[in-house]
Amino acid sequence: MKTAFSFDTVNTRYQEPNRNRVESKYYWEELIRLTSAGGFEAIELPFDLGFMGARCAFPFSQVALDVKYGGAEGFKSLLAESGITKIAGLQGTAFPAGDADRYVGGFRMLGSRMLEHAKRLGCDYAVISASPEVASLGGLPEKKEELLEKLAGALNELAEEAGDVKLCVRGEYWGILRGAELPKFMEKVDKRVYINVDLAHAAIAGEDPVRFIKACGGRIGSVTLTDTSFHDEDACWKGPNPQFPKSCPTQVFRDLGEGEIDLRAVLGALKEQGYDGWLTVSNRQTKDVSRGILRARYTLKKEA
Amino acid sequence: MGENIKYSYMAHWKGIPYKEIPNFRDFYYEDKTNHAYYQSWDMILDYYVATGFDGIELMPNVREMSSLFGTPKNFGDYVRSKGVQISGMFSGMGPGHIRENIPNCVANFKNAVDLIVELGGRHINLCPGIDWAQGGPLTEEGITNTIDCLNEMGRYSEDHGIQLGIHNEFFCIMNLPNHRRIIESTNPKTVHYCLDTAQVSIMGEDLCTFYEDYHDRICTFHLKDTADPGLPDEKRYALSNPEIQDDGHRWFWEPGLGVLDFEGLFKLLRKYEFKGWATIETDGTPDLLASMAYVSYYLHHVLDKIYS
Repeated sequence: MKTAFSFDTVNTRYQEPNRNRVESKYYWEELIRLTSAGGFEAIELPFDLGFMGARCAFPFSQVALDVKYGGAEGFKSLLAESGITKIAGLQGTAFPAGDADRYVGGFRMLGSRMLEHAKRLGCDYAVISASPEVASLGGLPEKKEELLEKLAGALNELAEEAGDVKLCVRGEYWGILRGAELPKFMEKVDKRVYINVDLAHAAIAGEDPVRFIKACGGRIGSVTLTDTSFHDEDACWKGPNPQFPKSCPTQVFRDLGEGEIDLRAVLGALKEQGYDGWLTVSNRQTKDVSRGILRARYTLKKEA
Repeated sequence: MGENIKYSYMAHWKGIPYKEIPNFRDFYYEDKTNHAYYQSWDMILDYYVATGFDGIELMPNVREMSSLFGTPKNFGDYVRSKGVQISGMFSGMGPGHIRENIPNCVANFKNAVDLIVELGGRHINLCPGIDWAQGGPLTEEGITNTIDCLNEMGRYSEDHGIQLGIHNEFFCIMNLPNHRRIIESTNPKTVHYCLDTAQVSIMGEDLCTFYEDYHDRICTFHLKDTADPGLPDEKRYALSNPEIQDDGHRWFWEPGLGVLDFEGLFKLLRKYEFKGWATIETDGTPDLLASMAYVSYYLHHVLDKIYS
C-alpha cells in the first residue's frame, strides 16, 4: 500500500484566524518535517495557476516554486532532506466561472498546465475536479448534456497530453458529476483518463464508498482518503459554498479516522479491484494540521 | 470612542464561512478547539464591540459576502445591526503607471468605490501601484501617469462621497525617491492620504515629520508599529516580495510593541485637531483576538490620555 499525505491540509482560505504564518516559507519547511515525522514519504500538492505570484510560499504553483524554492528540483531536494522522496500527485480545481463555456475553457487550460507541472515534478497522477459547484452555474445548467459533452471533449484532448501521468477526474458532491454520475460519464471519455475515488465526496453524494469503488472498477487511477460524518439532508450541495452548510454548520471533511467512513471495508474493496496505486490522505478541513497528520497515521496503522 | 478619533480594526481574519452558528455548542464539540470561535460574523463582530472598536475596515470578498448575505448592502446592514460601522475598505491601483492601463485601473477602482458606497463606508485606501520589484523605479512618464490615474480616481470617489487615501507601502513602485512629489502633484481636494505608520516609517520617512508635513492631506490612518524603520533599499526593492518573509520575520507589530513614536504622533493629532477614522492593523499576529485586546488597552489607557 502506497500512502501519501496531501498538502491540501493547509486550507489557504478558511484556516486559522491569521494568514501570515502560512504564507511564509518557514511554515512549509516545518510542515514537510512534520509530515515525515508522521511516517509519510510521499505528498500530494494542490495546484494553482500562480495568481498569488511571489507574494507567498504556498508551494502550489510553478511561480511559487521558482521564487521561493529554487524551482521544481530545489523543492524536491528540500523534500528529500526531510525524507519525503516522492510527490505522488497534484490536484486542481478550475474556477467556477459563472457559465459553462467559460468554465470548460478554464478547465482545459488548468488541466494542461497541471499535467505539465506534474511531469516536471515526477508525479504519478493529476486529479482534476469534474465540475464547478452547481450553484455557480445558476443551478443545474439547462444544457447539462451539452456541458458534459464539452467536458468529455476537453478530457479527451488532455488524455493526449498526459503521457505517463494518470489524469484522474474527481466528482465533488456539489458538482454535476456527483456520486454515481461520474463512472457513467467516464464511459464516454478516453480510457487513458481515470477516476479519482474521494471517499467523503462519494458518501455525501449518497453513495456507499465500497459500492462506488466497485462501480468504478478498473478505471480507478487514484484514491483520496477523506472522512466525513455529514449527511446532506437539506441538499446543501445545490447552494452556494456547500462545504459550509448554512442550515447546520459542521465540519464536512473530518480528519481521517474521525468520521464515519469504514476505511477497512474500503481498503478491502480496493484490493478486490486489484488497485495498487496511491492512497492519499486528505484532511482538507482540519482544525489542527499537526494533529491531523498524527490522527491519519494512527488510523492507517489501525485499519490498513 | 473619543470625541475626535473613531477606531476601526482591519478585517485580517481569514475567510469567515458563516453568518451565524445556531448550533454553536454542537459545532464546538465536533473537535473541541477554539476554531469554532472564528467561524461566524456574528461572533467576530461581537469581539469588535467587546474590545471597544467602533468600526471595521474591509478587504471584501464579494463572492463570500454574496453567499452569506445576498448583497453587500445586506452585509453592511448586518454589521451595523451588530453595533459596528464600516469605516472603509482597502484596494489597489494596479499598474496605473503605464498610460494604456489607466482606463482599466480606473474602471476597477470605480467598481471598488461603488462597492464601498453600497456597504456604507467612508474611505477607500489605495495601494498606489504594483510592487517595485515588478516595475520599479518609476520613470518620469510613470510618475506623470500615476498622478493622472490618481487624480481621475479621486474625482470619481469624491463625486460619490468617498475619500480616496493613498496608502503607500514600503515595497511599492511609488517609493521614497518620488512619493512626496506624487502626493504634492495630486489634487489636494480629491486625493487624500491614508498614513500607514509602519509602512511609511519602514520606507524611510520619520513618522512625526511626515505627519507634520502632510497633516492637511491625511484623512485617515493605518496605525501599526514596526521595529524596522528605514529599511535599506536592497530589502525594500527585493525581487521576492518582501512583505512576507521566508523566516517569519514580522515587519508589523501592534502599536506599542515596536519602536515608533505614537505618543509623539498623538501630540501632533492634538495640535492639528484631527477628526476621523483610524484603523488598527495587526498583520502578522498569530492571535488576532489577543492583538485586538492588547491594542484596545494601549489606545484607551495610553494614547487616549494624549488625544482621543
